[in-house]
Amino acid sequence: MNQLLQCKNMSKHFSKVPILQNISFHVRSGEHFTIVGPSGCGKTTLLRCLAGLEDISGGEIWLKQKSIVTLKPEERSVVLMFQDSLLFPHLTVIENVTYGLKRRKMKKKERVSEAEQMLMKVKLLHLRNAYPHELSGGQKQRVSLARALVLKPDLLLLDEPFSSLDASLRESLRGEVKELLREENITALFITHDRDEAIEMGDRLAVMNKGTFIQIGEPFDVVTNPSSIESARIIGEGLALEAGFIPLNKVIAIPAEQKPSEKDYVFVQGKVKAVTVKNNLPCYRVTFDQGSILAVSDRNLVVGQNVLLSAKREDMKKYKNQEEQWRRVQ
Amino acid sequence: MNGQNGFLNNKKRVVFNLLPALAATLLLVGYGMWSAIAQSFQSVDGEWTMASYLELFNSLAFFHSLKLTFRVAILSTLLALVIGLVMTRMLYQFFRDSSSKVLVWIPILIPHFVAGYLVYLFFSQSGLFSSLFYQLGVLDHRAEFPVLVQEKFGIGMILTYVWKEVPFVILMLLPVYYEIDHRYSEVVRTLGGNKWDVFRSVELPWLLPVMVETGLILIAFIASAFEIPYLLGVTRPEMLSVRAYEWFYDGDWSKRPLAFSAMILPGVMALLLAIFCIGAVQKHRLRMIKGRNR
Ligand SMILES: Nc1ncnc2c1ncn2[C@@H]1O[C@H](COP(=O)(O)OP(=O)(O)O)[C@@H](O)[C@H]1O
Ligand SMILES: [Mg+2]
Repeated sequence: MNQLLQCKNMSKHFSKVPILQNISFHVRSGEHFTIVGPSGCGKTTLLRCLAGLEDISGGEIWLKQKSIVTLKPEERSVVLMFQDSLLFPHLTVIENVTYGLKRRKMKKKERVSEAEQMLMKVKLLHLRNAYPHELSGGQKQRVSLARALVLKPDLLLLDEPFSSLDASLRESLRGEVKELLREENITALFITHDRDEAIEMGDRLAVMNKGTFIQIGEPFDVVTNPSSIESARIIGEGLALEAGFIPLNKVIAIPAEQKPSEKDYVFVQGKVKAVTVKNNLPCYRVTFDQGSILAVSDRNLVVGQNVLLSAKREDMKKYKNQEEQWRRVQ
Repeated sequence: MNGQNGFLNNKKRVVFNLLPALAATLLLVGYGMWSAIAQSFQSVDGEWTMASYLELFNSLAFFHSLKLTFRVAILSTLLALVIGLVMTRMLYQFFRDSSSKVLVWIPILIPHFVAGYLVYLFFSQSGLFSSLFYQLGVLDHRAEFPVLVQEKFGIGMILTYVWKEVPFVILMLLPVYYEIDHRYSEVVRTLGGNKWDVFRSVELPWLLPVMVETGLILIAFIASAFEIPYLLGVTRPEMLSVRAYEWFYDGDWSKRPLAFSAMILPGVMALLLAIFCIGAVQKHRLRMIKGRNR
């Protein structure tokens, strides 16, 4: 089976308020699993429970076929990387990276050489004697990653590690980190509220909403076939309607006057809010009563124009609503 | 720029407005310091001389007093720091949201002299504890009660200073505890460190500068305070402040220069110690402040 981590019916309350409810999933050895969900849905709490920084209120957590629920955080072979780099300000880069190895009573020579190798992999060996206040945001985050990876944990938990960085840095670091995790054969659970990041970083993806997983699957599957309207709104690339999901590439914005027949087409009323360029094509930011999307058009539209977002009826996908199916499986 | 409206910019204006107060303070303190230093270098007749310092260095009594003074000051300070640190941690953990923790600061309100008297009342051989043990039959004679006050080591003084200064240490350290970013404690745990590692790698680095400063204040204060040694000390060796007091009021004034130099020497030593320690922690403090995450 090769399941490294298994969570069964995990739940967590904060003074009777349920934050996590009946979360069940597994992560395979070497897999990169991402969790995406709106802010406040309980992602951080889930990671903290896995790391042992919070006690769970119910359910089971198994790591390598051993229950870890009662273990202290320092006894779990799980490392949590926080949203901020949180490097120890009074220690140099190399001292930060060797910190965990020192707790394991590894000899000084060995731990320094391990740390130097890891710093080389994150391309920061030349800053080994610098203090955190001398580093940039991206450098700090890399040192933080090195500090976690050098411990070779069974499971690495990453809590939106790039969210405090600017967009271009975030994109370049994303690829770098993914590669490094693969190289080191690290099993990782990665949290984000950024769609692109979730799709790019994960071998499998879970969509989280209101403290529970509403869909798990391969990123491409999940993005193109959301199982419910909530899932479609969080991750789906397209138009999330009550009746079903329309992939973005099937949606076209047309001037409101040129309404096609209702028999073959579905449409939603909207308004052009901005004009932009994507993939070298003009694109329109269209808002409608349930959100906004970037749509293409075969006409020239202007800002403020009333439009219809339309698609062929046959292109609409019904929600699978897997929930019942899941319940049977568990 | 509004600075061009007046003839002074903001910073200068502040200094200008503070000038009367500053001048009064500087003049009074400065004049006092100057006259003490001057008199320590003069004979009673007003001639300039190093005689008083030479006499001090040749006086065994002075060195015994100096030794006692530093022993009492350093031991009391270290004990107060350690006990204060332990209590601060407990207060922070167990009374995080309770205002009852202000009760530990009550001893700050008690004058040092009263504190010394209380220690005398409780711990002397004729004191309450010795009576109590005698009444309970633990002791056959009150004289069997250990000599804790008015003995050569200065236990009574140390006892007084510790219980009087521990609340001061807590007063200084507790705000720092609230300022510590406790996410770092979780970083330590997730990297495999235990609670002791949390203390060493997260709490201590933040507390260190404040502890050094608090320690310096306490050492300087205890080394120069008068009332407690006068109440709880022995005749020989006596604390430096008592020694200086006696020289100052010695019949024919001929020992007055000695009194001044006896207080100036430890003052200079404390000043050097302060410069050294504060210089040593300053770099550390800057790293801590600049390097923390937001
Ligand atoms: N220690 C706590 N006590 C009470 N409520 C908490 C605590 N930590 C988190 N919560 C609540 O749990 C919910 C989920 O928080 P979090 O896991 O941080 O969400 P996310 O990381 O997905 O943004 C939030 O509503 C938050 O207010
Ligand atoms: Mg979060």
